[in-house]
Amino acid sequence: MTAPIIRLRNVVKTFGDFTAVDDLSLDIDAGELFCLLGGSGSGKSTLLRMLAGFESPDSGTIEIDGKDMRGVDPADRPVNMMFQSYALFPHMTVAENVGYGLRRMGLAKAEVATQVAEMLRLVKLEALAQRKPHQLSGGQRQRVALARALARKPKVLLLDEPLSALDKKLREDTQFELMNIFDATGTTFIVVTHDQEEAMVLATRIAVMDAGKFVQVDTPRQLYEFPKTRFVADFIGNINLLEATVTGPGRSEGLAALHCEALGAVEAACDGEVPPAGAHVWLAVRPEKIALSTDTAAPGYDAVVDDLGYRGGDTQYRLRTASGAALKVTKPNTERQGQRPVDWDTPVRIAFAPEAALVLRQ
Amino acid sequence: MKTTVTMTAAILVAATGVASAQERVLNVYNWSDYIAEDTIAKFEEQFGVKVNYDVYDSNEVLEARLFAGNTGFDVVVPTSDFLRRQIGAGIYQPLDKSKLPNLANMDAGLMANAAAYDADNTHAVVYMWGTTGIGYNAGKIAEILGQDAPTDSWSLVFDPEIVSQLAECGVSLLDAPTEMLPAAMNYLGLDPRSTDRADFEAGAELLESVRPHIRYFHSSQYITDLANGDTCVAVGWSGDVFQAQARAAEAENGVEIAYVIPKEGALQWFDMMAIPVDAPNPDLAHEFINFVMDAQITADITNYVWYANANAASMPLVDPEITSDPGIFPTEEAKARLWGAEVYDSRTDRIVNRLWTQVKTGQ
Amino acid sequence: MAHAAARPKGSVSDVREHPSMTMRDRISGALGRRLVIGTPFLWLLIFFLVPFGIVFLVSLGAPEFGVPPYSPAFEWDGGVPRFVGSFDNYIFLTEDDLYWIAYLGSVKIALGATLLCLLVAYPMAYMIARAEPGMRNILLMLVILPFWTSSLLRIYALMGMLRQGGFINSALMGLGITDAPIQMMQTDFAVYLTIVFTYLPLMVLPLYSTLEKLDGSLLEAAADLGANSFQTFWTVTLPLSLPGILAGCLLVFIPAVGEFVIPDLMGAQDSPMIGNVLWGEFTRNRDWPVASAVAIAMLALLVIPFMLLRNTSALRD
Repeated sequence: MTAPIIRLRNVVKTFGDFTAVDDLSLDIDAGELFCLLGGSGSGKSTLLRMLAGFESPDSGTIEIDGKDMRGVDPADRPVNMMFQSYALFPHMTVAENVGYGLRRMGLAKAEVATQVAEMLRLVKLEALAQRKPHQLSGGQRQRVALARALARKPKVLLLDEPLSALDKKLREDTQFELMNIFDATGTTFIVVTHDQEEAMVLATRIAVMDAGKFVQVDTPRQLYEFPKTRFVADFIGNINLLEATVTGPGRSEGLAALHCEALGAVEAACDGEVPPAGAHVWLAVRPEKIALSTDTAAPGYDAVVDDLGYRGGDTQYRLRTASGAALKVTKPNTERQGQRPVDWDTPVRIAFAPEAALVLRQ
Repeated sequence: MKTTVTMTAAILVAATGVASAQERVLNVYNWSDYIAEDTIAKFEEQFGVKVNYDVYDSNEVLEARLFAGNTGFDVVVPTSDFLRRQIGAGIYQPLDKSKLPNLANMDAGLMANAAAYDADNTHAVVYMWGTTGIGYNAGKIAEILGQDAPTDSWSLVFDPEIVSQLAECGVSLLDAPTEMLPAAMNYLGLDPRSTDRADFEAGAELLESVRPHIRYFHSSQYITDLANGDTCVAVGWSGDVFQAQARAAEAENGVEIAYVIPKEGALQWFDMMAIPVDAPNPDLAHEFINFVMDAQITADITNYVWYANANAASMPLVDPEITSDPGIFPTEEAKARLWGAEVYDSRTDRIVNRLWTQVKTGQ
Repeated sequence: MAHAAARPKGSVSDVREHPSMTMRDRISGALGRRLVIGTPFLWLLIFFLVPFGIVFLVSLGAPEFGVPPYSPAFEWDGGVPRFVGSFDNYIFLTEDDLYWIAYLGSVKIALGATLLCLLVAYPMAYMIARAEPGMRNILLMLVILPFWTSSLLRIYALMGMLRQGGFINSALMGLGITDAPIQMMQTDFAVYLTIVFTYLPLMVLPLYSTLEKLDGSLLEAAADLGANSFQTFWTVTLPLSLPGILAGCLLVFIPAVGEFVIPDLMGAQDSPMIGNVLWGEFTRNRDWPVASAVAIAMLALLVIPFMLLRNTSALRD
């Protein structure tokens, strides 16, 4: 692997009293589909705008493709941006929009036309080349914006909430289309999103941001299965977080024995060292990793079904443990007939493998 | 401060107007800056009436309103030649002379002159009269043309040789074709009262020859410009030039303005008080005209506006500085060379105005 | 789903479902709507079409001594109107170059002044639109404020500045930049300057309102795609502010063509505007019919090109 395509070192950006980006350092390799994931005000958009050149950092350095970007205009950076609002020029046709960046490069008319046609083919909009943006659907506009941003063949494509303006069904289709285009172009994509599912589907790597800092930078799978903090665990997917105290090492390597108010004595996996006995920790266990049985003699812990939500593909249960703590459990509906959801107020037994649960120290 | 007092008075008048709905109202439409400061107030006080006093600055504006009809004016003050045409259009009612005892104060000779426009003075009496001559900045003219400058002659504005020297300093003509063309014709030795197209064309040709040296054609702007020293020579109306003279003196800016009735002669005009046929209050209008013909009232006006009046009885009451000024009250010799405006028919009007446009614009 | 599909005609069933809504309410509702739509039409009818019709009728008559000073275009012949007017006045206009020259002169001055207005107003409007919101209101106020004083007053103020012994000449001579006063009054320069000065707010406001609405991300997008500031302005800002430019230009151009006070007070004598010619016909020549014909011809010559322009732009879109 060569040098990273993007290298951030101690980047800080404040707006008045508000610190939007707080001392960030990060390397992104060429060919990554990197997601900046966070809520509003987490600093993800500011970071993206600094990469595009619309904002400049108060301190720290941003290098793109090995060059320091200090004082480099947006126009001169090897990046292009797809705006959240798409920012299509309303007075230009689809073809003119896509060709805008090419014309600025001083390409000959015929060359611009060829490349525009190529880009439109890529996003399957050949037939609409002469339309104006207001004559397009939301999804079509999104593709024009994408084609326009890709037309200059940037080293890095910046996408600001690329799918947020689409409805849910279209969003799912478009996610895969976006990935196909990513594969076809080989460009590095940096996507800003607040939607964790979108990030999980798209990204090769995700940076979870909160209050201007990276909370965890990892692959989607690592983030989901091995969150480092309660914030990440809670932000990515659904999870049960139960307060617990370490009582000692578990029965096998990497496990810790805990006492948990909600359940009693449990064992769970540790990411790294087993914390010392008496340490205050949280037990994190994903709802789908908990087994649920109506057989009251099954091993595990007692609970009662408080509430349930049938969602088609799976059913979500809200349980109450013997100690009164609430717990979420999901069960896939794998059969069409015969299997019925467990009813309200039914006493059940719940169980999970120690390896499926995680000890979080913070 | 004056404004405040006037406004307060106006509000008070308005208030009493509401209180007594029977109060009589007189509507007067006169030239701007053409009456003594206290004339209206005195009339209101003496007759217990309210006067709406409105002003205009050209005969054309007055005439357009009169022709449109229903003006609501009781007394208007057109210039003699306009008056005559308007009488022809049936705009004025004959005066009831039994209600105008002060007619006895009027100068018989001047009234006879005015009767050329209104047989037997049936419809109107003279308000003020004046001449159309030349106002000039005495100091500047002497500086440019020397001591023997022809300040007593129309050549000051009609001789291209001379005007060209004054152009830099600023020369203006009245934007009044029926006064300028006859003046040019008179300068050429033609009859200023001619209605012959060829004579008009000759006058227009003379004016065109000096046009490159004329800064502008306007009928009121010259008052300020002369007074400020922005222009040096202006063909203008006697009283207006004197107004400029007074302003310059007041400003103590070293500008000395003089008015001359050129030796070749000049237009003499009369502004006449008349009552429109549709005047809402003709009785009161007669009383106002009679009031103005009072010797003291007319003298007050002349003393204020520096225009000559036609009221023989007022003469002893007029400031000697005014009566002795040959620019205001011309000598008998000069009087002999004054001419009255000819009244044109509409075809002649169109010829005169078209030639005038040609003079001004070269089109 | 089922009950949603059962009421496809929303508004009709809504009315039926409200027994409190009586027949009278519905009628007065419709009447109210008609009044709301009809008011502008009524306004146009009373204040534009009717006067226009009157002026047109006057233009078909002939001048006369009397009140009113023209002969009518129609005579009542036993209760039936009979046309006795003529189009002679329009023919007359074509016979004398003066009208054509004055019209072209007016269009030239109005176009020039409109262009100058645009050049001055655009940067102003742009800066106001980009200013901080608090500052923006102050700046807008400063643009509108002169509008609150009589335009005649502003013209006289400018005359005080421009005249021979005026502020500008005194300053220039005082500073030793010039020896003699510069002739500024009674020049085309003074007319252009005064029209620009008088009509500037009419240009700034529509420009501001389009520029203020301009989406900032479009400018960022242009920059991102390699445009420098000039290219961004030329390819994005300018085309998108065209509606404001068009509105502003019309608002300035139309009254400027008919302007007669400014050329009368400030203008050179050899460039009459059609407004002055019209005024002269009306007052000096007392020829109301020809004055009316000039007015109607001016309106026609102004309106027809704009209608053509509108049609072509409608076709293009």
